[in-house]
Amino acid sequence: MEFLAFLVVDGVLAGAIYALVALAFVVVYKASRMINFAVGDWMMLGSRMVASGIHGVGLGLGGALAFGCVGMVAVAMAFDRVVLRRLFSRSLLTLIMVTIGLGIFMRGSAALVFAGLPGGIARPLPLDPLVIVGVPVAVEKLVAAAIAGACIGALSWFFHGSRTGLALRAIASDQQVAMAVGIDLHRHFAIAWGLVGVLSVLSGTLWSFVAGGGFGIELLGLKVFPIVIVGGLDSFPGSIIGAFIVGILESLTAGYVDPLVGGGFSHVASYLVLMAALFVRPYGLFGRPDIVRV
Amino acid sequence: MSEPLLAVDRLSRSFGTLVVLAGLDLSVAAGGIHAIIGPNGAGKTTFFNLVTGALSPDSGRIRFGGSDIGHLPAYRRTALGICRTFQNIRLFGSMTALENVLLGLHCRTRGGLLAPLLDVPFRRSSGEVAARARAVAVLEMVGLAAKAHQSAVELSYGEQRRLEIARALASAPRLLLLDEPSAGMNPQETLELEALITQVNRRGVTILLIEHKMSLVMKVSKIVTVLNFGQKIAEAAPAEIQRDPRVIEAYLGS
Repeated sequence: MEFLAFLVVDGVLAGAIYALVALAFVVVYKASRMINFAVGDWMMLGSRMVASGIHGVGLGLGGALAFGCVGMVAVAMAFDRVVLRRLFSRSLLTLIMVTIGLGIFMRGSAALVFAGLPGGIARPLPLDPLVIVGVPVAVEKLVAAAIAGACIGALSWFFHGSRTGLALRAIASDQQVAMAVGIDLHRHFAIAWGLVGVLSVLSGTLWSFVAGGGFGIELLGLKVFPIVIVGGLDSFPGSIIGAFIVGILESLTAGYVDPLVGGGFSHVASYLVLMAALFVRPYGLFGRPDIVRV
Repeated sequence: MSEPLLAVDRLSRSFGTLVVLAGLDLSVAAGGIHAIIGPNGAGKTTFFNLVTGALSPDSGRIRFGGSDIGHLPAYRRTALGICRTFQNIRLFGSMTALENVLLGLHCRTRGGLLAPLLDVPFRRSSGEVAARARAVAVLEMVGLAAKAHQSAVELSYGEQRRLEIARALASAPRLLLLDEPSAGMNPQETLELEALITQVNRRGVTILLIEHKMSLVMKVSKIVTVLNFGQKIAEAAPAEIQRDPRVIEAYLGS
């Protein structure tokens, strides 16, 4: 029983970070119907920028986060301005290929730009796990989840309470009408990508706290697909719930199934769910049925 | 006569081999209600799309308030004072009536991206409070204040039409383009619409109206332009238009 509770808690904490990653994906999808296949590379670049803020520039964690945010927003703006604006109203396939291309470019250039700089971000926290009602909880995961939760709250307030958020929702609902009522589409696409930059820094950094950083962070991006397919590509609450489902599923299969089959099953489990979801509800649990299939 | 509010000059637009507008010249005087009628496919909606910037013309000029706006993106034209409604209702369905109108106000309110961060978090800024008050006032004008917090899809057909007009009015247009506003309305709703159109016009908004219901056109408009095959075939006061043989021919066929 305690083992189950431990696994569920661990899954929820991982799910909170996944939710942040999924939001970075959904923000862009909602605003521009673009599918960003390179979320993982964005996270990787975000965390590398923070790491080089610490190791290369010598900043503290706060300063390095600000450094990373500025850097990633600049990358996002450049991508939007130089690439996406020229591709406005091109086919979906073109836009998808562009995100994949950018991902490969990021991965390749990161190896050059950050050569010799360590990719790890030291945790400013103790390592002893807390024990809450008999269940051990890793402090770094708890803090990471709390920060992720706060970010999700701020983001949802931004979308529902601010003028810019309202305009982004309008664009998501009907681009042509949004234009007709006087919303500058390009400016808001840029804002959406800027948000992706900031979310990449935050989720990349949190993931580095939890998983130690460096390798494998691109794989985090791949988890976004089972999450948004289960939750619905265009739904914020859906993708958050999807993130928790995937987090818990991974944790449970890692605890119960991996020892039986010799490990590794937890990494595939969420993709099995993804395939099942595609058979049953291809538009996700919370998505709208009119979504195109990719 | 003073300079027209809107003047298009030899405006043309084709889709593939289909010529929809063929060198249209049209002027809209400030202050009036100007109707555009014509058979289906005459180019009326395309004309609206060109004026609002949803489409670019193949050739021709569009002047608004004396300056050339043909190269401006749609949102800049809205800021200059051109706003429209759509033939098939196009509201932001999942949003409330109030949010729809607030979006109409988008180009009249300020508040950069950082405004919500610089302000006291989770409290509305003074600018946003003012915007909400204005949005409620516009809803009152079209008789929807009581439904401000209902989502747009829950409203009745006639209410949705009026909400679309409210959203357009929120942008404080000088020229309001209404694309078949009475489509699908029953006689009672049409009467209410007629009253609303004249009321808006009396407040100083010039109205350009595409309409199929001749009774409405004859009652509200000061001048009627008839389009057929992308060209102007007649333009006169409503009573005269009814007797024009070219118009009768265009509608009934020869």
